[in-house]
Amino acid sequence: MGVSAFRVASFLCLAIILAFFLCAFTSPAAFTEPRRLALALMSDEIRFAILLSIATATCSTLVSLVIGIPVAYVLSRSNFWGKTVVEGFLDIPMAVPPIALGVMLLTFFVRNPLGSFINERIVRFVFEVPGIILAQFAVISILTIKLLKESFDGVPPRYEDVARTLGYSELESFLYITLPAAKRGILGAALLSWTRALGEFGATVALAGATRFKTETLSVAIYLNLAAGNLENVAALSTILLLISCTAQVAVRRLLYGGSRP
Amino acid sequence: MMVVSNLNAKRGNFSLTNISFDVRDGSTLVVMGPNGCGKTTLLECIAGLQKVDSGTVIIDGIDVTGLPPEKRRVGYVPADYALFPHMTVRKNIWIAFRKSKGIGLEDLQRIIRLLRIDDLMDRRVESLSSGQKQRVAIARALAAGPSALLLDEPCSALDPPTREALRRGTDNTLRELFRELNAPVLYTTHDLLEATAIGDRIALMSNGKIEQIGLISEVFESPRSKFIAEFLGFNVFSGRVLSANATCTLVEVGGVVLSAEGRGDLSEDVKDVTVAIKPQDIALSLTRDAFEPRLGNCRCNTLSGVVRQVYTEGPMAKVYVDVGDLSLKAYVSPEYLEELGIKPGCPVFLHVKSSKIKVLPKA
Repeated sequence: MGVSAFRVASFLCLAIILAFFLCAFTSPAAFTEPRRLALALMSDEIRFAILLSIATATCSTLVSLVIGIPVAYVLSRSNFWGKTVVEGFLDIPMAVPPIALGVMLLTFFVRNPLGSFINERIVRFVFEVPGIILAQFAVISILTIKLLKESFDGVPPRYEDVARTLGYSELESFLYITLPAAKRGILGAALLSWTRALGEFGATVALAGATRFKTETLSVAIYLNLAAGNLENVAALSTILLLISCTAQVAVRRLLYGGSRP
Repeated sequence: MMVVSNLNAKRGNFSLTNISFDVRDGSTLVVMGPNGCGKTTLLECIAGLQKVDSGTVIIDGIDVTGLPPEKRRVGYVPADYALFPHMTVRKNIWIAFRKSKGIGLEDLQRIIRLLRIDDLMDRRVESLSSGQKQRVAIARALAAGPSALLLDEPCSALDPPTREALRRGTDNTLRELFRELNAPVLYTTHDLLEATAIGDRIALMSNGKIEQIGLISEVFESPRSKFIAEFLGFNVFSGRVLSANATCTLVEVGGVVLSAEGRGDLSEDVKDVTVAIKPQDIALSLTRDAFEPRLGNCRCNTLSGVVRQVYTEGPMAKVYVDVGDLSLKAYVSPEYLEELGIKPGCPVFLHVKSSKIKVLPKA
């Protein structure tokens, strides 16, 4: 049986998309050289940016998971009045550009009395590190919830029913049955959210600013170097960001599939 | 003992209505009925997985109607078995055993031995055959030490040969297991043979109601309504009473007059009736006088007809015979058919004892 034209066209599209991103990913590497990359890694400012990016992305991902797991579970398992409206509302942040989201948060903490109170008395978000975490959380949380909901949708509620008849409470059924059964999906959601947070720029720069050695994440460092016309540093930083994301992808996939699947 | 009284539950457009029955310890009640009649909903209401609007469920003398599923101690095996896919067989059983009350390791080992899953303990669930999954699901339900066991069509997911083997072989295994459990067992199925092999009593459901409940032999011999007769595979016709007395009722069915023994539950003024004849109770012959026993004043019914269709299904041959406006099906052995040379188009005589003709008031 021959291969259909549609199948050939589909593979062609796949090849185009792979080539497109391959070109994009390899071009910074062509701009830099290993010596330049090593120099960049030895720079205090870039080391600070790497550590700050990893730390803030990890914090925002953890917060997204802690809040996202119960939200995704309730959206997956419960039917309640106004559920469609709630789901539609939760889609809005995905449609808003991150920089606009950051400006909204900035306005809230500067202009809104409640926001000002929180910012001045409880946690300082504006132009501070917690602001990076909050900005990343604002961008990734809905993505995390959507991915987690998909994972919970894939675990039949029947498992929980049976667990209940075996003597497990609703919470225990969730903890012992649903959560481990959705483990792969949850880790996948965490990885995607983490890499998205790692590269977050728009909301971060709007809320936390772009102060060297203070709120300078890798993306902000790329922006600052680009603004200063230091293209070699931009290329090195982009390569570092790409390497971190790739390493995380490989590590989590190994964890998920034990090396049995790519 | 499980006692269900006046249970009512609404679920969308469907509702369970006034369900009442009891199941003694060590006894099995088989619940049968067509798809969508409410068998699964009934089990879920008893297990506490569905909300009950009114009525009570009493298990071991405790009213569990208002209790959450985890407090009811009711073992539940759903039709898809719902084994936890991220665990091995051992872990599936262990997770149930962790919460068990009144069941020791020795009891658990006996259950595992009895269900022949000793060799499967370290296997992952997805690597099991449907028959193995069924046994593991039952073991898991029993490992929690339930006070009652609910099995929702446990053989429905099995492939036909495994199902047949289980029907023939497991009736002993499952029966032995149920006896060992010494708790009430509720078992739903579509299959009449499975019901006969597993159950002590049977409840037939239709549209959220129990139509008839009783000993299996009793229900299979004396269906109480047209629905049950049809569900059990009887020949069912609409008829009209010509005459009735204490010993005999004459009924006209599609131009054919049949005599039935006694008058059953018919009141004197009832004229329109449903006539039900079990296919196994019809004997075929090539001559009129092959069977002619007298039963009081009623003779054995002998009808002449022409064979329309013959086909073999398992160990039985189904013969469809046109008698006047009626089409009757009879179950006979294929060897008997071959011996008599009965084929489509062949004129035959059908013999039905009067006592085997059920005359039911029309609903």
